[in-house]
Amino acid sequence: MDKQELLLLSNDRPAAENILCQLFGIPHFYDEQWEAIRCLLRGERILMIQRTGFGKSLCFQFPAVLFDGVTVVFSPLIALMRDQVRSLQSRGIEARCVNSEQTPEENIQAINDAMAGKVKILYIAPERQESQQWIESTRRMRLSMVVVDEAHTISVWGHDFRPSFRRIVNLVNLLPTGFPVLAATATATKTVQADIERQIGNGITTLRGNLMRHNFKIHVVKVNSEEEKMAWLDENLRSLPGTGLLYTGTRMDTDLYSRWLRFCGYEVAEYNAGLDPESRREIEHGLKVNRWKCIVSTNALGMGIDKPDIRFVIHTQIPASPIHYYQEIGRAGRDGKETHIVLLYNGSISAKGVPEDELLPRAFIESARPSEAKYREVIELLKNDVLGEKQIIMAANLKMTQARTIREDLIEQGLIREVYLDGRKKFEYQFGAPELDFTRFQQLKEMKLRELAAMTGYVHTARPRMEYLCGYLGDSFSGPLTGCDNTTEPIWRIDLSEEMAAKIRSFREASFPVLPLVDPKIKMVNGVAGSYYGVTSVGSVIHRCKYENGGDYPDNLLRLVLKAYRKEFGNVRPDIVMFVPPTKSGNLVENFAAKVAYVLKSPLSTGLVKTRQTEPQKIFHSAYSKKGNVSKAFALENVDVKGKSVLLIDDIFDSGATLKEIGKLLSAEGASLIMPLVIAKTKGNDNI
Amino acid sequence: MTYWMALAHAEGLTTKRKNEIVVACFNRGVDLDAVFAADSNSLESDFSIAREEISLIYELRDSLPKYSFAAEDLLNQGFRLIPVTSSDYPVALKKNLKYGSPILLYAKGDTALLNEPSVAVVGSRSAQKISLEFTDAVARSAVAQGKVVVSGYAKGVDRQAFDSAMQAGGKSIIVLPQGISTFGAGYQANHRFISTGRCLVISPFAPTAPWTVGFAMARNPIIYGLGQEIFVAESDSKGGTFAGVQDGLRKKREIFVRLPEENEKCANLLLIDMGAKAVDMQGNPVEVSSLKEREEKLRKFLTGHRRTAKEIALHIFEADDKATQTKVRKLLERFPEIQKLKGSPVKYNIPVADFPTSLFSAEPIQPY
Repeated sequence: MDKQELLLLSNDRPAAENILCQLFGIPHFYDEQWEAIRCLLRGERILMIQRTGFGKSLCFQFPAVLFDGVTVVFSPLIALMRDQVRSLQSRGIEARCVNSEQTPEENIQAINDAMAGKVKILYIAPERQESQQWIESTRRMRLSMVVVDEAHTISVWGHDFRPSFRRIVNLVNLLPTGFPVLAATATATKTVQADIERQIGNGITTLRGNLMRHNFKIHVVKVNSEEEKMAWLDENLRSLPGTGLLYTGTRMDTDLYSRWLRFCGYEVAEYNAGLDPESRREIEHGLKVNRWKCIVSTNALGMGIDKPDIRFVIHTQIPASPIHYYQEIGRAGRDGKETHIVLLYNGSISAKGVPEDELLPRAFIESARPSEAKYREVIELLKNDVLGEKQIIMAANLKMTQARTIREDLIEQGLIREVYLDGRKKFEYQFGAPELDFTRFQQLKEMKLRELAAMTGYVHTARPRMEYLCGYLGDSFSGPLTGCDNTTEPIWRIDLSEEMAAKIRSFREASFPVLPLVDPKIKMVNGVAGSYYGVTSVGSVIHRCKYENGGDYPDNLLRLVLKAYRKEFGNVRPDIVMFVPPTKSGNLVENFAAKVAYVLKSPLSTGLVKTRQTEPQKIFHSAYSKKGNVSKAFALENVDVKGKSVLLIDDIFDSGATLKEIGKLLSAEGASLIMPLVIAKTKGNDNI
Repeated sequence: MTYWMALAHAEGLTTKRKNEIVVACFNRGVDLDAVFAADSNSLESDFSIAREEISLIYELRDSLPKYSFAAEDLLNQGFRLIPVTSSDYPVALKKNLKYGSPILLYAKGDTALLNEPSVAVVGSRSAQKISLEFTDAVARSAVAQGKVVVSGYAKGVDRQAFDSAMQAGGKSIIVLPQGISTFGAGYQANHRFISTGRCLVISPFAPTAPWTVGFAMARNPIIYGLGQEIFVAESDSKGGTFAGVQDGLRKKREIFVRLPEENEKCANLLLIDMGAKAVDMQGNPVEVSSLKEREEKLRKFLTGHRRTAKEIALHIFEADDKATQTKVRKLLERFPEIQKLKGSPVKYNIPVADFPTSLFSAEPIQPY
């Protein structure tokens, strides 16, 4: 349709609904949908704040079909993209998506189709705006509209700020007047709303809907320990109708809770950011067809899954703010039917004087940013040279996450820019750059602490819980509210029986951390550790032996590790037992390995040696540096591993770089199977 | 910026027409986006867009969204976009090029350099050592006077001008013969100079366009236009430098050309004859009339007479030592009309019939 026709249609709702019926098989728009569509047909800019399940997508899909050219939808939700493309295609509307889960060939094909004018709607991850190839392609596209989904991510005051969205805002600001733009979100406080309006500007109209979800039965279960959370889940999950999501605070907890629930006889799947795209798709599909009672996941995932009947959402850890919480529970019950929302909260006071369940969010807030010295170091490096990410990580000895945080802050404050030199992404210190403003970080930190306090406030409030959440988001409403344990629902409690306590103990004793090392290329399988370092007393025992001349590792560690071995590898007897040679002098690991070998009745080999001095891995903070530290540092002397299964022993597992390096060597020398075994696995790494 | 990019890279409109559209907006007190919002009547009456150009403007309008993507990418990488209406736009360029000024410049670095006192140094890519020494001296003296050195970063003279300015602790503007985002290695190499505001890189071309001969020619007027003073180290009788100087002279610019040594093969003298000012190795003006007088004296001395090098040396330089004689021999080689007569000693002579009016018109002027 041309401009004139679109303008006419924007004043003729019946005609538009006629088209709607033909294209989408829906008879009518909601009034709020029509309001948005009318504006877009006239080439206006809209910020739409509507609850999940409202039907935001239709507000851009409908005009996109009528416009000449392609509508670009920036969305961080890959699962949502996939589902929407499938559903549009099934209606005969040409849609494609471009994201990191597709192969480069699929992405290129999608972009080529858009350039050839074959596509009405192109979904694209915001990070793609950083691709020169994409920018170059847009030069040959006829663009009709830009949609920014999850628009709260463009605001640093939002709960999920994404730096790549900063570029989307800049883009929107450069779009010509009269070009339709839709920014949509289900979660924006008044502050975030004002921030988005200011950033997108240019006469943007905000359409704010009612965020209230009436179909939720909301509970907060106050407990006194982790065991009580585990007990509550075992005793109650069965009686919750349907299938749902269990959100934990860390990856380690998704591991713990999924194992616990399986131990209790539940069918569950574990979902986290470390999964490969295929497993992720597989689990999302399983969720849709109700293959499991629940998915145990970190909060970053599960967003945008197009499943209307998620019947419950349980949190084992309080989220960082009421907005996070609203967002996460918002994924459930989009069909409007009864849905259970449960927050398990351990409010017992920890040794640090704050409630146990505030420890984790507080730690995240405290460690959100590296030290001032690290910032200064990176600034100095970039003043002298234009460097890539890896170069910065190596030169300043940073963790990947630290490097990214510093980089984004420096970009945000205008000290550096992301540039492309001969196609390579690098970072460049800018002429006229301002001084870095550290007070801003303090402000953000204080804001996050206030948000956390508001979240704790939710736990203790006597008000209707939905009112508390929506009130925080800036909704106003009237009338009585029901549906939570502060109004019409019963209060749920837990009493830990002796029987249950014993069950948890036996679970704990039989569960060992897995070392994710499997690599068929080097004949290595996943390893196993006796315990987490720092969770049980194992860590302090190791520390005493290793750094305080505490003598050999004691026999209870030996028993623990052998138990882990049997659990993971069964009764396999390795052909040969080897151990990682020490960085500094000492034979703790050798003596320990000798005992393991003795018990397993396998020969111990001392043939694995160092060819050069290495540094302790713990002083390096990035995987790159760790890998570099041990690269080609090992050799075999007077030992033949050809065709043999090797049990490879070390005391502490950190990044796995050392074990992988040795695995490469052993496999090159012909080992048939490599089984890693360590006493303890550290918690801290780049991907909590 | 989207509107500026769209107009700047519009095909089918000359730079002059683009400037006229900008001026029409200026006169009406509106921004450039008004052109894109206007209907056909308004385009004709308010912006004096010819009827046959209207469809062109409409095409541009449809291309705007894609320029938004390109503009965002450039700004995100820290490039600056400077429209001709911006206060950052170099006043000298507008003054010198008038309606031939590019309506949009892309830049990286301190754009304040664009309006600081400046010296352009130009010359051949395959310049001789002496020209590079001259370039070095001129660039250093410009730095000493607090002036910005403008050059093209090509091999030879350009590169020497830039390097000398940087070594002397001065400032420099590089005018690229390619798109602003295709200078990767240059940005990496000169990062410190750019980030500390000592080097500014600019280009008027489409940001991703690769180097072409056409661009290399087209950027010369910008180098000449930016420089408040223009120094020519070495010019062939054809090519970019020569054409650039001719163009500059036509525009009544004052252009300083290094006075060549007597035995040099270059077109510097030709340019001086065409109206450029001769300068010595330090860039200071040289009185060329004495030179001409000397040549007249030589011609008179040889026309119809056979003279030895020793006699000529004594007559012209009032000295007849070996060195002076050698100098004379080299000088004589540059006069095609002088005949060298075999014998001992060798003698020189100008046959009366062949005598031309001037050395300088002996070489035909080749227009670019």
